[in-house]
Amino acid sequence: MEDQAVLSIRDLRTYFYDSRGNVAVKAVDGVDIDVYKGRITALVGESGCGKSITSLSVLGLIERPGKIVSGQVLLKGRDIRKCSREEMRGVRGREISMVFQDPYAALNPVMKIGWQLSEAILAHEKVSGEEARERSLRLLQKVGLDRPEKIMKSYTFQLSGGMCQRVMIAIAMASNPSVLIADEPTTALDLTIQAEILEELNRLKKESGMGVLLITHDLGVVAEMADDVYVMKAGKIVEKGSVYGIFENPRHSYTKELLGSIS
Amino acid sequence: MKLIETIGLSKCYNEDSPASHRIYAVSDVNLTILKGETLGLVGESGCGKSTLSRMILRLEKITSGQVLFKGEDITGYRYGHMRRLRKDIQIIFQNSGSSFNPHFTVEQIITEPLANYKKMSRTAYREQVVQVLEKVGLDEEYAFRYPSQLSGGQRQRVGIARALVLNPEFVVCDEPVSSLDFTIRGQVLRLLGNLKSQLGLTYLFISHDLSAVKRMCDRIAVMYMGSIVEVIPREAVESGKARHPYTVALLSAALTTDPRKRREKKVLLKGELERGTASDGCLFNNRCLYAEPVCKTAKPALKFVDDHHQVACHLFRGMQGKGCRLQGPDPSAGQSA
Repeated sequence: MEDQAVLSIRDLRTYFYDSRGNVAVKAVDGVDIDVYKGRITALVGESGCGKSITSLSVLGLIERPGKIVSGQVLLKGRDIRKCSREEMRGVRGREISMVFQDPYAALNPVMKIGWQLSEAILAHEKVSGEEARERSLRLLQKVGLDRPEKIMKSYTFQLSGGMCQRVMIAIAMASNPSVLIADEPTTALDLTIQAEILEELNRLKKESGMGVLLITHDLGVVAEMADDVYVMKAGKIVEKGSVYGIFENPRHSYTKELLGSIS
Repeated sequence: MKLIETIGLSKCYNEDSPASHRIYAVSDVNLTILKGETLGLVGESGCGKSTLSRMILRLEKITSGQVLFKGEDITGYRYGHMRRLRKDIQIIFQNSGSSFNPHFTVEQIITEPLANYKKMSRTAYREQVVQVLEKVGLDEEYAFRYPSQLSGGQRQRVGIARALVLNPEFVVCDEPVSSLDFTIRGQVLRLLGNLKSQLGLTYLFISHDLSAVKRMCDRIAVMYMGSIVEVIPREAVESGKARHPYTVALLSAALTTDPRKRREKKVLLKGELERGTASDGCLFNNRCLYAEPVCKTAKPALKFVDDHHQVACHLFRGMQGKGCRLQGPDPSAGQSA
């Protein structure tokens, strides 16, 4: 099992520095995570514990004053931290995609949806505009949107939060990534829509066999979705295990505290 | 005793438009809140929960209908009257941080409503502030901090303190915990519960999370597109007696906390909330799994199923079979209709 992980994070450390160059915050402090093909790996913790910085570090999206100090990010055995900027552009969106928390903030408000979808396809593949359009339509259908033609011509403000999140997922799925990072994908959504989006993610994962790194603070989402669980606190992984192990037999006091807070 | 009662309360934001284009954010709501109870108000975002509560507090202009406070019609109250009334009806906002003046210290924030009603010496104000901070579980030292120096949970506590400093009778809690982390969420809910029993408060508790309000509320009103579709006592929710298909769908959308109880199919709603579609029939008919022809032509009224349980659905007799199957093996319960 160990060698089948599509994404392995090894001893990742991302620090933030103050103006004098001293370490101000150790946001990610020696994190190891494995994401397997066709499985959902949940990274759970309170806000500010370093979950999102972990995911941004994986994609090499950390900017000053933050810095990835050490560690490896192995995508199918290849350390993508050694990739050049150009090579990383080929990795992001193509091999590792990301779905963000707030779709309204992540999508471009002055571009039609069709354009944004085609852009994601054209950025990675040499296809004609016509073909990109065709594929965009199919992608929208695939994520469960009823009238793709109409949505292609819409702007984000014309769509509901749930529809926008589906569009985000469609963009993320554009080039059949092997890993999908979903950073709090349902936190901004209503409860009923949350259930739909989670169901959609589950179905897409089964169909495409991608590995999913699901970042969330909601233990309900974890119980409902995850196969493997990592519990994070103050930049460190304090406990990892299968979802059943974590929920039924938590070892670390912090995990117990988290579970205590939901029942 | 009825503390608050609304009669045919409606809100239309585009009153100037021709009748066919008018959109009602809240339409014809009849609701009573009894003294000492917590009434939950649940629904998707945009269904009119906040508008309804703001109309009850007279923060929003009322298009038609009445609001009664202790049996007295307050709909026509003007400044002087309203000012006196505001002492007794208060609100806790979802995101307290943005409802504070960032240049005020906690002490100033809490003193402001006090100073509005009572002239006292500085030390007397200080005493009151310290007292109310203690009630919400904050130390005296927090009085000198600014909102930006507080965590989300602490800010929410200050928001609660500000609402309670005038000893109100009725408090609207507008999604008081939805911006909080789940560990803090439990603490704040517990605090609200304790304060209620200590001070004999009455809450209108607004949330989009039905499972969360189950713990807090005595009765729950479920709202859909501006109308109340079901008013249900907590025990009835817990024993699976929810009748309206929308309530059942909301309940089923709640996430499990036990990974072994996962369900493949969680969604019991068709499509999404469609705005601005005025129809003669039941507002829910295009998303309802059980819709029948009658649902498209006539609007169901809110009827009593038993003493405390009201449902607005044409099918609720038929729903007992269908609804209960979704809820669990309890089809014989509550045959009072």
